[in-house]
Amino acid sequence: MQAAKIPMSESEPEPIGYPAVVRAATAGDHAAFEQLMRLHDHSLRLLARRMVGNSANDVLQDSYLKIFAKLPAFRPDEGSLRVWLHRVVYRSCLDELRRRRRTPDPVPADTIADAVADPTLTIDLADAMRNALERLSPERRTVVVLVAVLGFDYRDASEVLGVPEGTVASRMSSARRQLREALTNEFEE
Amino acid sequence: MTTPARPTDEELDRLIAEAWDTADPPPDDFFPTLRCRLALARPVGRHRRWQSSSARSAVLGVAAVVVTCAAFFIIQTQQGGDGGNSPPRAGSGACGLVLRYRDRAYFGEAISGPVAISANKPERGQIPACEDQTGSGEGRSRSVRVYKITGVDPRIEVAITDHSPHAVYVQSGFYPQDPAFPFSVPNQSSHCVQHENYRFRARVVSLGYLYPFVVVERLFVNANGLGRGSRIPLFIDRDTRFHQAERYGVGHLTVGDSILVTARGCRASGAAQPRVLPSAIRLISN
Repeated sequence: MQAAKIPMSESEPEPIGYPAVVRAATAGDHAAFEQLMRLHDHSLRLLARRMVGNSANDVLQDSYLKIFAKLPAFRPDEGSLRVWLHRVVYRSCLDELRRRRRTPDPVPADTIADAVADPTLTIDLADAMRNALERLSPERRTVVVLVAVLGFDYRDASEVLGVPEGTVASRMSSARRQLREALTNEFEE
Repeated sequence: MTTPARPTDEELDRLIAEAWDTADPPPDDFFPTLRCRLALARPVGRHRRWQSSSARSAVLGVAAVVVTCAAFFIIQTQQGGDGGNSPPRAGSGACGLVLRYRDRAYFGEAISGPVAISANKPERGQIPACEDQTGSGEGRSRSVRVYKITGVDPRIEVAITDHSPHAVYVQSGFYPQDPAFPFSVPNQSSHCVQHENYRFRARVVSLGYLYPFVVVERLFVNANGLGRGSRIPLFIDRDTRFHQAERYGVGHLTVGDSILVTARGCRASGAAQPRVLPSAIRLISN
């Protein structure tokens, strides 16, 4: 079985027509901007959902407005648009978490249950993974989403998070260790 | 099943991705709400004086947007949600790029070169209101003259000339492949190499602007880079064959269609993941 990954619309180079859409969106075209955000919405929504839970829609609305306002200042030669979009959403999620002053909502069980309906996985493994993921700290959880789910490499993930690559690697390593230990404990009990 | 007592990093990442690579699609009102908020966010700060005609226009424009958006939300509330599976309402697409003509939604595509317009009297079409905030800022729908194109079925493509000469509109869900059409789907495989073959069953969830989005339901051949439940765009091009998924002689899909897709991955230089280029799309049910 292979890993489920991000939609291919997220990869570089972008689909035909994408540069024109970006240019138009940057110039303030609402239609093109909506098209652009629809293209990236799945990935950004995954990130927001894992960071702020049920507040994701509100955070994304605010994030997309910020993106629209800041898009003309985006410099393609300074980095990937995909990374920049995720960085804006990530920072909005952080703002939301600070506003709440509490940890993010746990991932709803039904989300996980739907995802692991694969017959080759038993419910025990699904439960174990779900429980382990829910126990990750927000920092580790975010790195896991970016790297393991959305397919960012460490460099791009570090740009999204605004931390050194080594920190990303360290958090990912810690998260894997925590998940591995959790799974091991689960199956040894 | 192998007990994952000490899964490798790769195994662990795969399990994580399988557990977490799902997200609810945006609710039906998400993008319409964003559209209205964008329109309302149009800066008017420089027009401080009501006496200024430009200031008055700006404020009236915002007021019109408020009314339009309020009307939209009332309609949305009355219609209720259906999980995002309804066909796209004319007016649910991209503003300015959407034309409503004979109760059908068309997506606009600017093309270079002249279009042979039929000599027949043009009919009227509408550029929907909430979607048309970009150009005029009037916050109301715009009536346009819709022309038939010589030799082209108007159920597939039409043209308007009121505001953007040679703009061709393609009915949502149609993918004209014959280069004889004023607009036909582009070659999607240029500058990339074939990567791998796929065969999967999928459900059409969105017709999009340039390509449909589908959710993969079952994989038959090669799951590399594709997961069950993945939402991916299909890069239909001139080589895609449609089976039972044609209308008026042109490839055609609607939201909710269940399809069997035979495709190849096409990886461009530097791309993290391949595009999915369908070589064949077979309609299973709709």
